[in-house]
Amino acid sequence: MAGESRIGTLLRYAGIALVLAIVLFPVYWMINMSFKDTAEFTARPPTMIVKRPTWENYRDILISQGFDRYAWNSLLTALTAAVVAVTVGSLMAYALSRFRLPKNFNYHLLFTILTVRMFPPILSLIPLYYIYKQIGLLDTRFGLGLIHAWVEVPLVVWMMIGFFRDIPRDMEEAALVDGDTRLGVLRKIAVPLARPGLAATFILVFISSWNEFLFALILNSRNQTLPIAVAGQITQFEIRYGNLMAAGVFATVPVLILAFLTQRHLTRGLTVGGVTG
Amino acid sequence: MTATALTLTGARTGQSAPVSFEQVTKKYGNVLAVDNLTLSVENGELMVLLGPSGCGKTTSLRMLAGLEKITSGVIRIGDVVVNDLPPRSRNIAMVFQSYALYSHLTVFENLAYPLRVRKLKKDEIKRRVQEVAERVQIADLLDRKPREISGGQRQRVALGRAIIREPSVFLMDEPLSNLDAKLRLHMRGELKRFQRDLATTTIYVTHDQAEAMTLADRVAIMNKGVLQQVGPPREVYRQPVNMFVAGFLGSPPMNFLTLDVQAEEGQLWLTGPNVRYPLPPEQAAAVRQASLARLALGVRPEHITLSHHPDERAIPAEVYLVEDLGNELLVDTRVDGQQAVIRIPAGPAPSIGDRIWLSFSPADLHLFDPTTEARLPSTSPAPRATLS
Repeated sequence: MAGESRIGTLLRYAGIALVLAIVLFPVYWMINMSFKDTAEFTARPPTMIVKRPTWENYRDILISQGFDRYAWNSLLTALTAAVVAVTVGSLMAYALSRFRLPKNFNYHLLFTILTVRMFPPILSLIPLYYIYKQIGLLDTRFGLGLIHAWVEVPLVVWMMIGFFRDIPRDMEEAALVDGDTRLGVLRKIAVPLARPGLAATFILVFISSWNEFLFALILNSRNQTLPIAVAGQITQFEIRYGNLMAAGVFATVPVLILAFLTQRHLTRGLTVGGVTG
Repeated sequence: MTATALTLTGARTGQSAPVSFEQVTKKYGNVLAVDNLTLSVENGELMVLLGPSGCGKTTSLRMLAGLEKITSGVIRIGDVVVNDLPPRSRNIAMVFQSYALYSHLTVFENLAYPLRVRKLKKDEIKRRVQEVAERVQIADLLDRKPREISGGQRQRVALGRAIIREPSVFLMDEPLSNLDAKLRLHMRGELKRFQRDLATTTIYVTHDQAEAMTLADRVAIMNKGVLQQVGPPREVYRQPVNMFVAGFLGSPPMNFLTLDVQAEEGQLWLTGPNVRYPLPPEQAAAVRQASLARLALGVRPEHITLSHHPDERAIPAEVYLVEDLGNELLVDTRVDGQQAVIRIPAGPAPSIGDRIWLSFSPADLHLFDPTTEARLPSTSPAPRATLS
């Protein structure tokens, strides 16, 4: 950006600051509100910075309501979803990127798999409920994770195919000639090189499962996940705003930590795959 | 090398083996990439597959490597038909144009890869990697990643990875084309030396005729999926079977003048608007037999001598351009509008627009049928004592 004037730089940063403010304000507000007691919560006009911070709301959701249990449910579900979706999806993406099927079947498969995401989830809910009841997966975290994986596999395939296409064919062929098997090549060459993509898709699936509401509500009512528990703060008789905000913060933090831990992969992954995908 | 030969699990020992293609054809849909290729490569020989891009040479190599399926025909390595064997069971090593080094692994791990796949013992791997690294002069780079070393060093790693397991056959797909000109010359010499020392059958693909001429024991020239000619470089250079081969080998390439054939005074003449060249008697018979109305006359630039004086047995031309290469001159001329390039030693140069006369020994004359582009039978120049 050499040659850019000082005013230009200033304007650019002002613009960035404005966008950030708009995006981050609700997050700030949620954190702000989560530390207020009922009196301050209902004050008009609202206090921009909490005056008498209290852990009351957090104590309520964690100790009285047992949010740690919901977080555990969410974690198991999201891990199941991410592991299954990334494994299945990237195997499929690898196959589609490396083997040419006759009659343009690669394209048809790639398109067909998108249809999973085309119809509204609520349509599949009742049949799924029935099937899950029959096979005993109803009200299990594993079962819910599988459903989340099923919904996300198309995303994984479409993202990973770009990453696998980016890996030079020569490199894999060299490994085949060097004496390795196809699976060996996948494990030792393709997977390490596609790691940014795998990390990025893993996190996307994890977040989407972590946030998912509808399937979690219907198929797993006994092992509630966080979104259901958060929504539970809105009852027939009252809306517990303080708890709602604290629950929101509590549900956001783990994903934030995960994103920070894998930030390097995430940004690289999201850009690299996009170029040729 | 035999002292360190290994027994490879699941493959034969590192013994060089001959290779043969028998009526091998490869089609992509309706496109014929390789058409009925029959070629045998002897044990320990360095065979260069030469041709322009898209001629099927790389496809042939990839079929031999097992990276492409064969549409029909048989490929043998040793006495084993390898048509349906996966690449790992063919005991071949390949050097790719892009080197195809494993970018996430160190040089050491790159070299060790073929050995690890074969589950060799750790200290055995270490010993062999060290040995090969010294041999290709990269012993001080073993901890680096491929992106941290130069192009020439990468080339050496690729070579080291190929020789480390003592394969039956080496396949090289334009291994030098990514190097700069100076390094390419250097590595070309080293490759030749390596191949000679290892005495392992090698199939080398290139589009660079100079590389082919210098490296090959025998060269196989391909065009449009069809094998044109196989033979030692000098033989192919001196007796090209058709205009394609004649034009592909040599730089600058052979000159072709398409002229009319006329019989007068019991003698055959090649004529054009300004040309009247008496065909030497030793060639005339073949031309009579073929009864052609037109003929392509081929002469290599270095076989033409240039004169400023009219000569009945020479072809008149006009100087179009003169290129001074320092040690020699390339004189670009026009004969009845057709291009003819002459290579002469550095010295006084003709000027542009000069009228000159081109002459050559009948032994250096190549005659082709301009429609089929094939060499006329029995017009091969007799081998010259000085060359054989």
